[in-house]
Amino acid sequence: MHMRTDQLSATLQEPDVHRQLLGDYKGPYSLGIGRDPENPAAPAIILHVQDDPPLRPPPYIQIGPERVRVITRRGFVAPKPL
Amino acid sequence: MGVELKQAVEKLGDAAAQVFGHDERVRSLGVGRHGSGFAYVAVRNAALPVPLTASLSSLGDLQGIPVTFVDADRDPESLVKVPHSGPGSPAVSSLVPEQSHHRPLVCGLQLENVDDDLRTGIIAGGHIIVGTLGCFVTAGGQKAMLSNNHVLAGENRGQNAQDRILQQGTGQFSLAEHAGTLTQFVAIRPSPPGASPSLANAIFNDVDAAIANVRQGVASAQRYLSSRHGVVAPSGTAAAQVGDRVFKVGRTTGLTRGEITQVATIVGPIPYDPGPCWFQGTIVVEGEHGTMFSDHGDSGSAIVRNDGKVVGLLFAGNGQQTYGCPIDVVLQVLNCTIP
Repeated sequence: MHMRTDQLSATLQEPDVHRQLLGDYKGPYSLGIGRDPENPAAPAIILHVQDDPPLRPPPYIQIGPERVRVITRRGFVAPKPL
Repeated sequence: MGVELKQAVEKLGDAAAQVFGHDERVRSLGVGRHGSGFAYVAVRNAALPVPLTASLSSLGDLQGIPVTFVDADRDPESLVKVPHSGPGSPAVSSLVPEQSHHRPLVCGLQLENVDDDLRTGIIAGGHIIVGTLGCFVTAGGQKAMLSNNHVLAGENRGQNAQDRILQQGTGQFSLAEHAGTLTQFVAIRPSPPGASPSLANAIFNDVDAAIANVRQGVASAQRYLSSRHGVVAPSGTAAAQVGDRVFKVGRTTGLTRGEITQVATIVGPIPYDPGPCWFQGTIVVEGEHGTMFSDHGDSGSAIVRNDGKVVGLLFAGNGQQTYGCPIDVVLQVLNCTIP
């Protein structure tokens, strides 16, 4: 069984999860729940970050008994109100 | 045949001098795909008049690099802030019909808070701030227009029950344009500079949302313009799911389609007038086939599933990703419903 989206959603609000993924990164970012392209039935954490400074988040994060995949996408541009 | 990318980029400066000098309507010059290689692409505002004596013969190529001209109908601009008259203003004809005056009011139309524009002095500077009417809601038994705080309420400056909302919005108040009155908005809460979720000092916003009651006697309908053939009207709500196919109709990019790629997303900081803002619980949409789903001025658009269920309220973007507030949270905090 995979972790449900609502369970994962709650964990995304925990500062410790952000610290584990982002370390000292101080740029704009977006952290949400999407699909693992290699296993579409499983939710994955999608992290968008800028190219600089270089960031190497872990490919998986342990949340309780679950190991959740982290997909990092670079080249993020800070969004603006449209 | 095109050339190598490096070759085109290296000569871009010289090419710009020639192309901009060749046709004063040219507004941009870049390098784009051309066959199997690269060439120059010049975008010009074809709506501008040209002197009768001007010679607009084709340039052909520049030092062996082809130039393709693409005609646009207006100058490039940050479209949430537009001139209130003259070229590029909503008053001139546009390829996006939502920018024009329409009655009955329908979803997707352009809106302006004229009183906020007067207060800030932006009208005196020759501009107006515009956004999009997402859809209609029922609040306190009244029919209201749903959009963003930063569209209807000037990023917390709004005066409830006083500010007049115009459709289409031209920077000048007229009764014929008066569509409604700002009724309620959810204040946007900025975070301290440098705040971050990892430092546990970011202040999260759930929505960027506001409503304006439709003025008595103004006709309105929960649908899109009839020229938007085959687009279903918003009807009811649903929780966004990753993989949902969605569309939106906005005043800048009109009808666009995309897919929800993320839910429950934390994003920031996003620059608002009160300060940098963080949002939680947002949904992320990416345009289908790599297309742009939204641009400046589309804020306030309803993000709608292909079956008509509204899932989000568009409020921000970066050209690649579009961010929306989950509609159920929007309706809850504004204490309203979508009929």
